[in-house]
Amino acid sequence: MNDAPGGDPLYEDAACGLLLTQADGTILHVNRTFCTWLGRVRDDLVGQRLDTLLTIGGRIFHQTHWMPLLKMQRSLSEVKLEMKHADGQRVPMVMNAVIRTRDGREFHELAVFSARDRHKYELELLKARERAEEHLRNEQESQKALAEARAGLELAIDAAQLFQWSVHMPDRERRYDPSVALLLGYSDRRVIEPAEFTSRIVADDRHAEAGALDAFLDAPLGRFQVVFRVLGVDGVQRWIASWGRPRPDASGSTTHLVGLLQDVTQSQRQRAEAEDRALLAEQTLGIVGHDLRNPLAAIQMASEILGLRVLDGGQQFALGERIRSSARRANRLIADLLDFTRARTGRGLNLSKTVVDCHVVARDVVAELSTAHPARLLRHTDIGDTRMTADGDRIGQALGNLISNGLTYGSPDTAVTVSSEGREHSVRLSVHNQGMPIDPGLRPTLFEPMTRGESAGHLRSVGLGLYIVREIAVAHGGHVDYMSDEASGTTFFIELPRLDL
Amino acid sequence: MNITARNNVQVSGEQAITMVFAHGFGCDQNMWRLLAPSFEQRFRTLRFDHVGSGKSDLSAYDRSKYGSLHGYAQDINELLDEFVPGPAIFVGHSVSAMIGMLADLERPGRVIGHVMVGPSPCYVNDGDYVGGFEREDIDELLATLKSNYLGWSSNMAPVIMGAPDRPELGAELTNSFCQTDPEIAEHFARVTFLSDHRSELPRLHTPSLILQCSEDIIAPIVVGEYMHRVLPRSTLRIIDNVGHCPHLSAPSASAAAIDDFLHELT
Repeated sequence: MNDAPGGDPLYEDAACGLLLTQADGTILHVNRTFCTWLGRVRDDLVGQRLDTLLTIGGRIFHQTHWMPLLKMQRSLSEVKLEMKHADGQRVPMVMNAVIRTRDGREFHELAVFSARDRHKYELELLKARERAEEHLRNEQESQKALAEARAGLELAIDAAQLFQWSVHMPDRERRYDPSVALLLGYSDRRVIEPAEFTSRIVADDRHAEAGALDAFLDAPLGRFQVVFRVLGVDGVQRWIASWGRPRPDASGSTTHLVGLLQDVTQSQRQRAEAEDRALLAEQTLGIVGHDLRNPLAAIQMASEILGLRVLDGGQQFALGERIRSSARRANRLIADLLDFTRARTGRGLNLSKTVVDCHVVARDVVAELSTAHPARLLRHTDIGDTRMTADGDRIGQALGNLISNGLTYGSPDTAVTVSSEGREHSVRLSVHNQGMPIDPGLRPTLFEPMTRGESAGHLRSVGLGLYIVREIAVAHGGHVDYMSDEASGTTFFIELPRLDL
Repeated sequence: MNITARNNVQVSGEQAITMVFAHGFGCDQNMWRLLAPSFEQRFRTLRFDHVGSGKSDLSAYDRSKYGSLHGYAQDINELLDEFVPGPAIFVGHSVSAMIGMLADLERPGRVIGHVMVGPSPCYVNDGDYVGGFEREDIDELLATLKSNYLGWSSNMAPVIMGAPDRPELGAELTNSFCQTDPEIAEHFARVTFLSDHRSELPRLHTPSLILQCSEDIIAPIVVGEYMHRVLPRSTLRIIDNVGHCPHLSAPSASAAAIDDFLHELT
C-alpha cells in the first residue's frame, strides 16, 4: 500500500478517525486521531480485525447487519457502534464505510466520528420515548378499563331493560338513546326525536310529564322522577317510569340531566290488581260482616222467642214469617256475593238463555215481592211485546234488586211502579218510586260495589244490588241507568237490546 | 390469511425440486442475491422474509407465536403446503437452519435435504458444550440492542460521495434491507440467541450439509463440528471465510460446496 496516505497532517490529525482495512476487516492503516480516541498506539491496532474493537453486541451487529449491508450497497453511512477504549470504557462511534477496489483487491475505507454527545442525546431520547410509551400504555390501559366498565354498564342497563335519556340543561334539549325506540313499540333501535317521544305520551299525561321536568330543571336538586303512559306505534299503551339526576361536568357545573326510562306497565298492572284483590277481600268481608249479620240476628231473635214460651197461632205465624223473610234476605245476599265475586274475578255471570217474556218475568217478581211486603203497594204495567232471548232468572233477579231498593228508599205511603215495555229494538224494564232523590254526588259510583278512594275505615257496604243489576244488563249487551229528582221521584231502568231480532 | 403477503414470498422457475431459501437474524431474503442465481437453472426457487423482517406483514407479528422458533417453523410448513408441491431442499442461514430442522421434524418427508449455512443449535456455552457466547454476552447483546435503538432503526443508507463506486444494487434495496422494527429485532434476537435445540439434532434423519466458515464469531468452528457429530446424516464443509455470511462474502465457494452436496443428494 505504497500509495496509502501517511505522515500527512490532514490525514493523521483529521477531525475524524480514518481507517483502511482488508475485506475481512483486518486493519491496514489507522490515523492518529482514531488511536487517540481509543487510547491505543498504532502498532496495537494495525493487523487487528475491526470487529475485535467492538463490544459483543457490536460484533454481532457487525456480522448480521454491517457486513451484509456493506457488501450489498458498497457503502454505509451513519452506523453507530460502541468501541472499546484501552481503559475498558466504551466509546460510541458513528461510522461511514465505503468499499474500494484497487488492483483487483477489495479494501474498506472508514471514517469514524466520536459520538459521545449524540449518544447521550439519543439515550435521553430513548428514555423520553420509554416514558412516553409508558404513559401511552397507562393511558391505553385506563381507556381499556373505562371501555370495559362502560360496556359492563351498558350490558347491565340492557339486561335490566332500562333506557337512557338526557337533557341538556341550558337549552332544555332532550336526547333519547336509540334503544328508547323499543319502549315506543318499534321492533328495533332507531333515532327518536324529542318531539316524537313527547307526542307518544298519552294526552292526559303529557302536561304532567313536561311540568314535572320543567319544575325539576328550574330547581335541579335530588332526583327527578315521573311516571307517565306512552302509546306505542304498535298500539300498545305502556307505563313508563322516568328517573334522572343532574350530572356535574369536570368543572363542577351541571349541564346535563341524565336518566333512565323503565317500562313499569307490568308492575303498574300488578299493583292495580293487588289493590283490586285487597278491595274485593274487604268488600266481601264487609258484606259478610255487616249485611249478613242483620237477617241472621233477626232469625236468632225469632227462634229464641219461639223457644221461650208457647205462642198463640198469630204470633207464631208472624215469627215464622220473619224467619222466612230473613232467611230469604240472607240467601239473596249470599247469591249476590257469589255473583259479585264471579264478576270481579273476571269470570263473568253465568247466563242460560231461553226465549222469555219479560211481562211474565216482571209479573212473577212483583207477585213474589207483594207477598213478602204485604204492607206496601206494588204495581205492574205491561206495554207491547216483550218476548226476547234472555236469562229469565237473571232478569228477574235484576228486577227484584231494583224493586227491593224502591221499597227500601221510596216513601212507605206511595206505590212502587214496575213497568215492562216492548220497544222495536229493545225491552225496557223500569222501577219507579217517590221519595228523596239520590244525591247527585253518588252518580259516578252508584253502580260500583264500593267507592274507591274513600278513606279507610269509612268503607261500608252499599249493597251489591245495583252492581249485580248492572252486570246482568251488561251481560245481556244492555245497560242500566236512572233519573232522580224531588218532583218526579226516582226511576231506574234496564235497557236490553233484542239481539236476536 | 394471505401467506404470499405475510412472508413476501417470491417464487421463480418450474422445475420439479424447489430450493427454499430462508434468511437468518438481521436482514431479509436479499441476502441470497449473490448465491441463489447459481441454482436457478436447475431448481425452482422460493425466497421469503420471516414475519417481522424485510417486507413481511409486520401486523402478523405475534409475540407469543414467534416467542420460539416453532412459530417460524409453522410458517415454513405453511409455505411448503402452499407453494411447494414437490420435494424441497431447505437452505437456511444461521437460526433458519434450526427453523428448517424443526419444520422437517414436525412434518417429515417433504424436505429431501438441508443446507445449513453457519448453523448453531445453541449459542450459549453450557458445561462441556461450546456455543461461543456466555450468557452475559447475550444479555450484553440485548442491552446493546436496547441502547442502540435509534441506530438499529436507521436505514444505514449508502455514503453519498463525490465519485462513488457504482453500487451493485438498486436504490430500492436500501430502504428495506436490514431495516427492522427495533422491538421486533430485539425480540427476534432474544428468541434466536437463547434458543437451544441440541436435543432435536439426533432425530433429524434428512441428509444435511453443514456449511461452516473458517472464522465465524457467531457460529464458531467447534459448533459446526459438534453438529456434524450429532446430526445423523450430515456432511461438514468448511469454507475459508471470515464472517457469518459466506453466501455474501464467498458466494462461489459456497455454491460449489452446495453443488457437491446436491449431486450426492439428487
